[in-house]
Amino acid sequence: METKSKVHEFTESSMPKYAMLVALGLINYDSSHAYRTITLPTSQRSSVVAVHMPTSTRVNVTDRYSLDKLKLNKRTLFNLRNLQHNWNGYNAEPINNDIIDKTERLISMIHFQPQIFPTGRGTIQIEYYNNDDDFMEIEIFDDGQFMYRIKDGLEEEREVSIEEIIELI
Amino acid sequence: MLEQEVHDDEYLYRGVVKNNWDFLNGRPSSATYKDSLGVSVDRQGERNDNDSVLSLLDKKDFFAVCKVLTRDVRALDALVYYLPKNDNLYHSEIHGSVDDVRLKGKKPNRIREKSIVIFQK
Repeated sequence: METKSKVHEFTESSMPKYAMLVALGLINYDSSHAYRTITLPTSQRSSVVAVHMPTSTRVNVTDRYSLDKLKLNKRTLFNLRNLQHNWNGYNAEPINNDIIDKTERLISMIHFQPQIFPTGRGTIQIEYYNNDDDFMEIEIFDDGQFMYRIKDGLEEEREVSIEEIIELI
Repeated sequence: MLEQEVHDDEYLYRGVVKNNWDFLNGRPSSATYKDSLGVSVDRQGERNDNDSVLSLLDKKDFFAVCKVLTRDVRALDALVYYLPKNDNLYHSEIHGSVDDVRLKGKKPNRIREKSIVIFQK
C-alpha cells in the first residue's frame, strides 16, 4: 500500500549526506528552525527523516529581527527631519539631526525594533512595552542617552551607553 | 484672573499631536510630557472638559487631548505653576523639580499613566 511520507527539503547534493548523518544520529535537529515539507514520489521514499535546512541566518522568531519594521522606523526618522519649530503646538524644537542620525545607527544594530517618538525638546524617545511590569523607554540626547525601565517589577532610571542599549535589547 | 495656587483637584489639560500618539497601545507616548522647559498645560479653572478641549482645539488641530489631576502630578514630586499668558488665561506648567525644570525618566511616564484621554480623533 502506498503511504504518504513527509520528509523535509534537502538540496539535491546534500540529501544523501544529511539523511545518512541524521539516520546515524550524528545530527540533531531543532524543530524551532524553519523548514519546508515536501512529499517525495513513491519510488524515492524511504524511512521518514527529519532534517532542518535553515533558510535564513537569523532566528525565525516573529518578534525579533524584522526588515519591514526597520524600514518603517527609518521612514519615521526621515519624517522627523521635517518637523518645524512648534510642531507640537507647545513651542517644540525641531529634532536635532545628529540625534536622528544616532538613532538610525542604533536601530540598524538591534534585533527588536522599538517605537519611535519625538519630544518637544528636540530629542528622540525609543520605547518597548510588553506590560506595566516590563517596558523600557530610552531618550536619546546629542550627548548621551537616558533610560527608564521596569523589568520584572524592578524600576531603573539612569544614563546608558549605546553599547549597553544594544546588549539590553 | 484665577487664584495663583493650582488646586489639587484641578485637572491639567494637554493636547497631543499624532507624532506623539502610541497607536500600538492606544495612548499618548510619555514623550508628550518631555519639553526643554516646563511642560505647558492648561489648568481647569472653573471650566468643564468640553470647554477645555474646545479651547485647545482652537489653538491647534490636536490629535487628542489628555487631562491629569494636579494631585497626581504633585504626588510624583513634580511641581505645578500657574503662569498665565496674554493669550491664555489658563496656561500653567509642570516642572520636574526646583532644580531641574525638565521632566525626565519616571515622572513623564507616571504622568502619562495617570492621564485620561478625553478627546481623540
